[in-house]
Amino acid sequence: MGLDYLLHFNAVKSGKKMFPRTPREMGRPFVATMRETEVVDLFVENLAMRGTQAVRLLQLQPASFGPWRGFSFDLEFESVGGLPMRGTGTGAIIADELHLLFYAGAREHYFDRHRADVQAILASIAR
Amino acid sequence: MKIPKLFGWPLFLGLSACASQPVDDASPGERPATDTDEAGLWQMLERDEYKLQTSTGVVRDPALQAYLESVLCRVVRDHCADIRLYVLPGGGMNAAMAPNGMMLVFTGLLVRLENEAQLAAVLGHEAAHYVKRHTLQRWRDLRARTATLQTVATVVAAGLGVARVGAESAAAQGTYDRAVHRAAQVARIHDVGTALIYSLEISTMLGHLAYGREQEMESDELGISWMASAGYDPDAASEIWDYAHLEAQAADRWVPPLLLTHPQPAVREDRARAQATALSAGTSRSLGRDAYLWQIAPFRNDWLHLARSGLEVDVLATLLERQRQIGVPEGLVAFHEGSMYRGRGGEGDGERALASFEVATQQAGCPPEAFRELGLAQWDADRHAEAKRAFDDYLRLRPPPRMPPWSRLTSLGRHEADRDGCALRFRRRGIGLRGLYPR
Repeated sequence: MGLDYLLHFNAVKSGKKMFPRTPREMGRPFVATMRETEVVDLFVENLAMRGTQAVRLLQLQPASFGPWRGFSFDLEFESVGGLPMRGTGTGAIIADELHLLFYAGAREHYFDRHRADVQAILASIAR
Repeated sequence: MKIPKLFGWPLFLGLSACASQPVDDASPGERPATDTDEAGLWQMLERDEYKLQTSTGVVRDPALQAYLESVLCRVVRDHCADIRLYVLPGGGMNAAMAPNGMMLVFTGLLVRLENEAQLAAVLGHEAAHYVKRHTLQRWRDLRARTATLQTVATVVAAGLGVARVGAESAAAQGTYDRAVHRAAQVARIHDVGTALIYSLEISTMLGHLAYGREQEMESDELGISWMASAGYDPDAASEIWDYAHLEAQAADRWVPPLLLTHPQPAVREDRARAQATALSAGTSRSLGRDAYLWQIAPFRNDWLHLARSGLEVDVLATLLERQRQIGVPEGLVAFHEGSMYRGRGGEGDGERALASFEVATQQAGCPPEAFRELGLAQWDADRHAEAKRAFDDYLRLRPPPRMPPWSRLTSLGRHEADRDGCALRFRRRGIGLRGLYPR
């Protein structure tokens, strides 16, 4: 992962890992009965397994994901190499499947550079 | 590749001839000469240690660090300055020792121990690996075995015209398989510590140079002897293996990482108990229970959370029962129990979770999140009025943080400023989580 990136989790089914190539022994799967707080915990665990350090959840709140009722959250963390990063995610559980967009970038300059683009992508989500 | 029987014996004899060569114990303050294989190992691990020293993944709490180091120094005495202790976040019951004196202790181990004497047993055991230079022994054994395999394979290839690479790759494959197998087992830690330790050479070293059983026995004996000399009750060592045995039984395919290369816990427990009996005849020894629990108290909630994300439910249930036996406040245990049921999501688990959260919020030591989870569980059960009260309690305990200027979000939230929260009535009395433990 670079200075900024966008992760799209598209229709993760209940019982499946958020990152499909995660080894069988590692990590928990997404479960459709998870609450927003649990989904964010799961996502943070997945980031940590990939070397992300010092993750701090700043915010979690209800938000719309296109026409669906969903949630959004903000994180601060350090990349594998120790670079301070910011991230923001918006998602929803729709028909027992997890949909989530997560955008992250270096705290200096890069996070702000594409934020408007990411918000435009979010605004374009339709049924 | 199948090696003909004729050549099976020389191979076997060749391997047997590579039996472990004894090395001298490390003296206090000793560093290997620069032209030795041991110096090469040290250099590799010093790079690892630099990564640890600059990583935010290491648990850095001055008070905790000072406490753990004080116990370590009390046990290893003259070797105190030779060993650097790092606490890594990880749900597994694990600790590791590098040959250059870098000791790794995982939070999953600390959260399972009951007293300072048990901690002393583990630290003494790991330090004994360093003093006895066990990794160096294993390194030399591995090198000798690899060389023998290559020699035999060359003879086979020359005499029968079969590919030498077969035996070589078989040896390499064996090592690879062990490393992968080991990696998968270490990976059960499932968290920040996993990623961090994977970035270190020591993780490869743990896979390739796992200690033999005799070395483990030797470290057990030396560690117990040291802890007894330091005034700790040596019976504490066998208690650790007793508990490890319980966890191992809890799930068939789960083996606590500490046991992967170790003798069977029951064997180890018996030996430790026999040694303890011999050492403690007619003497009074310290357990240091209250001091230990008091030191760990501010971290226990976070560390249980880490463990929860990585363990199977049966193992986690054993761990939580262990917390009760240790004397951890019921509010904290019941909260994690409820979260465990939520995570499993099986039939009836929603009701079990709700019942656990109700217990948690009535008991001392519950974290503020217990009120949030109680509210959510009550909401699911259409008990909306009660849920609202629980949410109100939660928001009183975890007020919304000041929003960062870059955020477009405004209302609910959680912040990390107050890590040792407890039930409202205890907060009102001004009692922090540490206050719930004896001192």
